[in-house]
Amino acid sequence: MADQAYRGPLEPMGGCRWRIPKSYKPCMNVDGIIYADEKLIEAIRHDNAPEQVANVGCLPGIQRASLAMPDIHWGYGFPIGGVAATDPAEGGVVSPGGVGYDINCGVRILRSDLALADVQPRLEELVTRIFAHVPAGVGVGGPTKFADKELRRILADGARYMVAHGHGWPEDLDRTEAGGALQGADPDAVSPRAYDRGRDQVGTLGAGNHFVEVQAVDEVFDPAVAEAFGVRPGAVTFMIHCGSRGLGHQVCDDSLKTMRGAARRYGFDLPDPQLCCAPVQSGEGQRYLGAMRAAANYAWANRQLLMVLVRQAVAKVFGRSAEDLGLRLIYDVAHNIAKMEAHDVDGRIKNVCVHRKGATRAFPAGHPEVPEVYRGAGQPVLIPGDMGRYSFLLVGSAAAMAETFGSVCHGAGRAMSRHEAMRRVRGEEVRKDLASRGILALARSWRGLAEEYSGAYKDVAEVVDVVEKAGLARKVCRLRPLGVVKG
Amino acid sequence: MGTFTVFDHTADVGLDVRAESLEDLMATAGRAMFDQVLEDWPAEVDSRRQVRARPPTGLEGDLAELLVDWLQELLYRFETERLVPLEYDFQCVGPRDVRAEVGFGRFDPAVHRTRLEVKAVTYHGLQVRQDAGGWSARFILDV
Repeated sequence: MADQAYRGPLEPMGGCRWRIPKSYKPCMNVDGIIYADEKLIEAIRHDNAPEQVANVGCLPGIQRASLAMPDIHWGYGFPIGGVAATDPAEGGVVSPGGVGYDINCGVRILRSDLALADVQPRLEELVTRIFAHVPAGVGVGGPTKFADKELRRILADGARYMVAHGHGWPEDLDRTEAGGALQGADPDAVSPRAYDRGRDQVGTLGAGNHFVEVQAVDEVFDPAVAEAFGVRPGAVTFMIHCGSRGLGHQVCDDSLKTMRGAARRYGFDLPDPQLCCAPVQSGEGQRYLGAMRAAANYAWANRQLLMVLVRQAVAKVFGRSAEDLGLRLIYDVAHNIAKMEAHDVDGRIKNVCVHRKGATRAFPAGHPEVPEVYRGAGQPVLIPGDMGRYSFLLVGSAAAMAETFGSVCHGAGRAMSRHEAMRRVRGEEVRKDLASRGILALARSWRGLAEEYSGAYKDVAEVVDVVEKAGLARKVCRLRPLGVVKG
Repeated sequence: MGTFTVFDHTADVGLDVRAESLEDLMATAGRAMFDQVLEDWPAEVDSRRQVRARPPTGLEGDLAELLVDWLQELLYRFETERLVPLEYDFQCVGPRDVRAEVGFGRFDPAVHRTRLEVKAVTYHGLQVRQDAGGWSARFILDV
């Protein structure tokens, strides 16, 4: 359980790396490696997440190491902040727990030509307009209810379907991981229940830790890369955090039912039943991957439509078009996903199944999957923090390719439970506290706001500092929240 | 009428439920889950529907699996039709299935205040037990 402190081995490797040797458990096929500094590793020890890092090391066909980012915390089978790549040619498996319930939960960020001075006098109007225009909260449906035929196309084509139907600009797709649609999605592998849950949720934010945030760039660490990404000090940005909504949750639920039986049939020796999995090349594995990709595409369509709604709201407030305001997408990244990617493993290029469970792809300059516009700089890496402090924009590095299959952290990671947060603060107090610091927060649920207060999260600056010290990514700029919209 | 308490969990919500009978356990677990979702409940029953839950193939007879499937059924109706379970008339609660006529109220996001969005009922630490005092269950909601 999460409330048990980890008592197994954690060997310091230097350079913000800690090893769990594969000798720790007989079933481990590879070492576990956790990226953290002395301070963060103490917090990580108190959670049982390192045990889960070791357990993931037991997956059949896992390559290199079971990896964990500095924002690691306890999850379901896999730790949140975990990365695991498996090789299908060596019996490698795919595991729904390595993706999670919110398939392709991710983040996108829009730049703008607006400066802080333009937005501050109209902040209340701006945030109120976004809050009114973006469907948010429990049980709130989207602007369109899609028929099954249209949903099937969304599942196959993701954000591309949206752009083809006038929701956004063609350049948005170039600036979205995988072009906004994974190949190999199988709409037939998605259950009727998942269709039912997804029918009216495209373009909805939901609740929990999902948000739309109005931000200002308050510190630039790498001016050249910031320039390449289209941001400068004092510029206003818009960040959106959301996923595949009920459709993705249902795909995960459905697959867990199938996979628990599959793991037994294949005779896998798994230390935790929640690591249930099937060989990538098996029928069960292919069916899950087909459904998971379809849900991932739904998530990209969802974030695309959410972004269009944000563009509309901002344009309305300033009385200028989104194009005129320079409301261009910088990038969109997934942080809960499994993808087939080519990586150099021990000097051989292998096509591996990379699970990123609460981890962000961070490819370096020159990589063919980095959009041409950023190929000289590297992939933008979006790391949301908490609504009271800041978020970060990083850029991918070659070291991440060599060590972590091109992956870094995905956020701050929770420091306390939702229940504990509720005991400490009330939603109204959180809103007043944020307002006293110039941040306007609007939420459908006071409880939701209280549970997401700043103090419930680790300081994301400490997390990204570890990522930078370890050489996995470089800081580009810091983003300070001005306004927050939540469900 | 059974009781429930919330237990601490880093990112999600854990629930401990106690009840005198298996029927009461299922009803209380439903109430506990929707208590995390809703601040305001619909005042009255709007429709009555037949709800059936079964553990997945190969896990027949597992009461914990039955509980998860039951809660998933209720969650599905909430998400697709905005139905909130208010009354339960159980026809059968056995190891193989749950069958009940459930009286649902209709949730209106413009009227009813909410708390959390439940993504799923997870399998971690999942328990259903019977002891001298009745029945207990423990489960974690992914929110």
